[in-house]
Amino acid sequence: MKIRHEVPMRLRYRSLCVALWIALAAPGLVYAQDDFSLGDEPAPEESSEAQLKALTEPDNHISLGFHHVSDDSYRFGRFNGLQDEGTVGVLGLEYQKKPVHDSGDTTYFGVSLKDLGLDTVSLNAEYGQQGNFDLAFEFDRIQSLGSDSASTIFTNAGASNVVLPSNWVAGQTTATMSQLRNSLRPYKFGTERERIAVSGGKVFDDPKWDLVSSYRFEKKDGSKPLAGTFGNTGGNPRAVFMPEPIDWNTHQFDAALRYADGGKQFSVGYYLSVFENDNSALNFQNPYAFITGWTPNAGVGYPTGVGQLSLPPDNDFHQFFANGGWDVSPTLRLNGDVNIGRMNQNDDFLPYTINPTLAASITQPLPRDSLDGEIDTTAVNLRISSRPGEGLHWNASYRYDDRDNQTPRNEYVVVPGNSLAQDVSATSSRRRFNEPYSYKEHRFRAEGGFRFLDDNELFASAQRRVIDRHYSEVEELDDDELRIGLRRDFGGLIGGRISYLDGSRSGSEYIENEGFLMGYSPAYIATVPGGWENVPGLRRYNVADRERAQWSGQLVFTPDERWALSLDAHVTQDDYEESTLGLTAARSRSYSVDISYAVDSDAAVYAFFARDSVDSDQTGQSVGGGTRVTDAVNLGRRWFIDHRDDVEAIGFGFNGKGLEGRFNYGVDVSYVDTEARVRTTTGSVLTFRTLVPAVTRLTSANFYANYTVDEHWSVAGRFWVEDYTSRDWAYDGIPPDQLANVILLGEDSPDYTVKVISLSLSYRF
Amino acid sequence: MSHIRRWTSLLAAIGIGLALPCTLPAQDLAAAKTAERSCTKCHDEGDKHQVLSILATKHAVMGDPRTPYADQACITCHGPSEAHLDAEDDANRPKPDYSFASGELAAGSNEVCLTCHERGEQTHWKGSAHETANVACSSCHQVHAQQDLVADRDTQSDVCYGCHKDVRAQNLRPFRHPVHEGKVACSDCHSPHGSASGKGLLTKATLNETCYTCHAEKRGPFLWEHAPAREDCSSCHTPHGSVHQSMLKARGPWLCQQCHLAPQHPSTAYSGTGLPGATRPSGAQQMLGRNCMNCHPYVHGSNHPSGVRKTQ
Repeated sequence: MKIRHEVPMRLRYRSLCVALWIALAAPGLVYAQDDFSLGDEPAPEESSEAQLKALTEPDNHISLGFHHVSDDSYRFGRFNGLQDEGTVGVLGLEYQKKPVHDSGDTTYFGVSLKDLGLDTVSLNAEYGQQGNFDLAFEFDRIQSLGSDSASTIFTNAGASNVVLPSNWVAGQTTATMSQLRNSLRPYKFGTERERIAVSGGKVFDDPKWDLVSSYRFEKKDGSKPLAGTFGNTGGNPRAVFMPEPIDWNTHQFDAALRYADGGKQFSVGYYLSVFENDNSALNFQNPYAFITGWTPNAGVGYPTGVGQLSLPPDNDFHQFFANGGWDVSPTLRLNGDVNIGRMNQNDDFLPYTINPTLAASITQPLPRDSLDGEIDTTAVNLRISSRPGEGLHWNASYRYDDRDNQTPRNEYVVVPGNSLAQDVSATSSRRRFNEPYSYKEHRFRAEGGFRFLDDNELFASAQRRVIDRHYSEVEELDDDELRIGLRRDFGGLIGGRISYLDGSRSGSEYIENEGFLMGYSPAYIATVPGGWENVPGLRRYNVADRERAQWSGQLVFTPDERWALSLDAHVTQDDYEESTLGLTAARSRSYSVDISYAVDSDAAVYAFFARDSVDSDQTGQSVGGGTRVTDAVNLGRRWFIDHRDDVEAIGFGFNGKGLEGRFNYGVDVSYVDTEARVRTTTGSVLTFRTLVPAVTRLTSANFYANYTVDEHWSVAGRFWVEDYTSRDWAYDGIPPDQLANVILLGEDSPDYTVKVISLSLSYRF
Repeated sequence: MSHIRRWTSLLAAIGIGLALPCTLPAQDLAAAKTAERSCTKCHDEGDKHQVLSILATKHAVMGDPRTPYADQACITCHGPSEAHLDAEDDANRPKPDYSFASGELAAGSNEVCLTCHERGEQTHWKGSAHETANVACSSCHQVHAQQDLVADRDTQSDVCYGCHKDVRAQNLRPFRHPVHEGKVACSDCHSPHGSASGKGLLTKATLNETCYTCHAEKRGPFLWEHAPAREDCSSCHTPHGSVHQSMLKARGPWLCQQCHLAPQHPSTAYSGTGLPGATRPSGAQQMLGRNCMNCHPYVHGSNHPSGVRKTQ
C-alpha cells in the first residue's frame, strides 16, 4: 500500500519539507535514478502482490474534508481561498485510468479536481490514446485579494461611472470636506481569474509528424485601486481614489505542426492573443470645489465636474514562429528559430475632455480617431553547439530582437485633468507629441567548457549586446559580459561551482533632454530656461553606462547517504560611474545554508537559513520652478538616498513514518523577516528626517499527519498556524483625509494570526 | 550471466507479467521479450528503489511503438549492460551502461532521452543554459515514478529550488506570484529545456511577451508610452518576489526619481519630513498612500488623448 499524505488542499509550504529530499539528493537533483545499491536481493517468494499493485496502479482516490479557519484575513487567503473565518467543506478527486503496460491498449483518461468548495477550485481532465492523440481540459480559478481595510467616498463604487453621495460637501482641500468621513464606505479590492483551456495533439500515421494546439480563455473580474486627478500643475491638481472595474477577457490560441526524425526537428506555428475590456472608461464625480488655476465658469468643480479615466484598451498580438534543429554530426548541432509578430491596438480615442464647456474650447481637434498602434516584432535566434569530445563543449549563438514601432506619431493639444481649456498657442506646454519607442538588439555569444580530472570543468562565456533605441536618451548601447567559472560534479563528497562575471555597458552620447525635445513643440522648448525637463546630470539606469561584477557559488557536501549540507551565494555589484544623478550603485547579496539528515529510512530532518539583501544608492537634485537653472548647479540642493532591503528566512522540519508505514507525520516551521529602509541625506539647503523601515514578519507552522486505515481508507489532518505582522509608514494610521489634495483609501498594512484545522477522509479505489 | 540464471530471470519476468491484470498471453509476452534482458529478477517490487512503478507511466505503454518498453524495455534506455548483468559479485557489480545517476556524464545519459524527446521545447536543448551547465535530464525528472514531481504544478518549484536557491529566497518575500499555492508554476514563464528568448529561458521570444501571457492589458501599444515598461518589465519589477508592493525593485517616489527629476515635486528630497504632522491634513502626497501613483497611476502607458502625464 502506497502511503500518501492525503489532505485535499493546495495549501503548500512543501518547499520546506521537499527541500529535505532535494538536499538529500544534492543539487545535482538525482532522484530515483541514484546509484543502485542492491543490498540483499529479496527472494521471489518474499515479493508482495500488494507492493506490486502499489507501484504499478494509479492512486485513485476521492477525498472529502473541511478546513476550519479561525479568523478573517484577506492577506492570509489572498491566493489560497481561506480568507474567511469559518468552516468550509472541500472535495477532491484524483482518478486515472491507465492502460496496463503490456496489454496493447494505449487509451488513458484522468481527472483531477482540487479544492471544490473554495474559490481556488481547479479541474484538469485528459484523455487520449498514447501515440495517436491527446486531449486536455483545464479549469482554474485564481484569486488575488487586495486590501480589505480600504474605504471609498463613492456611493456606487465598482461601477464605471461613480458618483458622490447627495449630501457631499466639497472643499478645495480635504480639510473642508465636512462630510468626507461620514461618506466613507468599506470596499474590498481583489480580482478573480477564471481560466478554461483546451489543448490537444495528434500524431500522424507517420509518427515523425504531429500537430499540437491549445486555446485558453481567461475572464478576470474584480477591482483594483485607481486614482483620478483634476488639474494640471502649479499646485492645482486634486486626486481621489476609486475602484477601477476589471472586466477583462483574454483569448490565447496557438497551433504548431512539428516534425522530428532522428537528429532533425522543425516546427511551424502560430500564436494569437486577444485582450478585451468591457469598459473603455471610468467616469467619476469631482469631490473638490473649484480651485484657482482651473478654468473658471466651466463647471469643473463639484457638483458638475466629472472626470474621465481611460481603461486598458483592447489589443491583439499575432505571431508566426518556426524553429528547427539539426544534428549535423553526433557532435555538432545547429538550432534556429524565427518569431515574427505584430501587436495592434486601435480602440477609438476617448475625447480630450468630457466637460462640455472645456470641450467647446477645443479648436484643434484630435489628429486622428484612434491610435492605429502597431509594433512589428521580430526575434531570430541562431546557435551552433558542439561536444567534440567527452571533455569539451562549446556553442556560439546570435540573437536578433527587433521591435519596430509603427504607431503613427502626431501632435495632440491636450486638455489636462478635465480642468483647463485647450491652449493652442504656439508656445503652449500642452502641445505634445507621442513617442513610439522602438528597440533593436543584436546579441553575440560564445561559451565553452573543458573537463579535467574526471569531475571538474572549467567554463567561460563572452557576450556582446548591441542595442539601438528610438526616442531614447542613448541611441546605441553596447553591453559586454565575460564570465569564467569552475564546476565540480555533484554526487561525490564535495560538489559545486563558482563563477565570476564582469560586465561593461556604454553607449553613444547621452542626450539628456531627448524625451523633452521629442515630446514638446520647439516653440515651447524655446521658452523653457535651460531647455531641459529633467535636471542635467540625470542618467536613466536602464540606458546609463554601467560596470557590473557578479560572483556566484554553490557548494554541496555529502559525507554519506544520510547527510547533506549545501551553501549557496550570489553577489552582484553594479556601478553607474557616469551617473551624476539617478541610480549610482546597486548591490544584491543572497546567501543560504541548507542541511538535511536522514535519521533512518522512515524519518528525516532538515533546516535552512537564507539571507538576502538589496541595497542601492541614488542621487537627486531638488530644483524649483522659477529658479531651476541656478538650483540645478547648487550642491546645497543635492540629496542622497540609500535604499536597503533585507530578508532573512529560517526554516526547519521533520517528517517520519510509524506503525509499519501506516502513519505519516511531520512538521514544517518557517520564519521570514523583511525590512525595507530608505535613508535620506541632503545638502546644506535642504532638510531631512529619518524614516522608519517598512517591515514584515511571517511565522508559519504546519503540523500534519496521515493514517492509513486499510487499503481503501485513510484519514489526514493538519494544523496550520500563521502569524503575519507588517508596518508601513505609507499606510499605517493614514486616514483617507490625511492629505490635503488626495482622498486616499485609508488602508492599513495587514496583521493577522490565523489558525487552520483541516481534516479529510480519503477513499482509494 | 549463467545460462540457468538467464532462463530463471526470463521466467520470473514472465511470471510477473502473468500476475499483472490484463496481460498478454504468456507465449506473446515471451515472444516479445526474446531479445530482452530481464532486470526485474533483482529490481522487483521489493527493491528499495521503486523501479517497477515505471510500468504505470507512459514510458512503459507497449501499445505505443515509440516507447522504450515497446522496444527492448529496460535496456532501451539503460543499455545492454552486459557487465552489470553478468557480474557474480553483488558488492562489486558494475553499473548499467546508463544508470542516470550522479557521477555519470550528463551529456551521455541525456542523449538517451533525446533519442525520443528532441522535438518541441527540447529542440532548443543542446546549447541551452541547463545543457551547458551539464544538468542531466534525470536531475529534474523521475522517469520511474508514477508522479514526476517536476511535471506537477504543485511540486515543480521545489525541484527548481534545489539549484535555484536565490529564487527560493525571493519567493519567500511578501509580494510575489502565487507559486506556493500552485497557481503559477515556474514553467508558466520559463522553458527549462531551452527557448527562443535568449536570457532567462522564457516561454516566449521576449520577456515582455512572456509577461503579457497573463498581463495582456499591459501590451498596448499606447498613445503615451512609458519607455522602460514598453521595453522591459524587469526595469521596475522583480517577478520572483519583492519586499515592495507590486513586486517593484524599490518603492516610490524614489524608484520613479531614479529617472524623473523635473522641477518642483518630482525632484524634491523626500524623507521623514513627508510623514504626517501634528495636524491634519499634512504629509507629502508623493510619499503617503501610493506615492507618485496618487496622481500618476498610468505607469504602463495611457491611451487617453489628454493622458500625457500618465494621470488619466
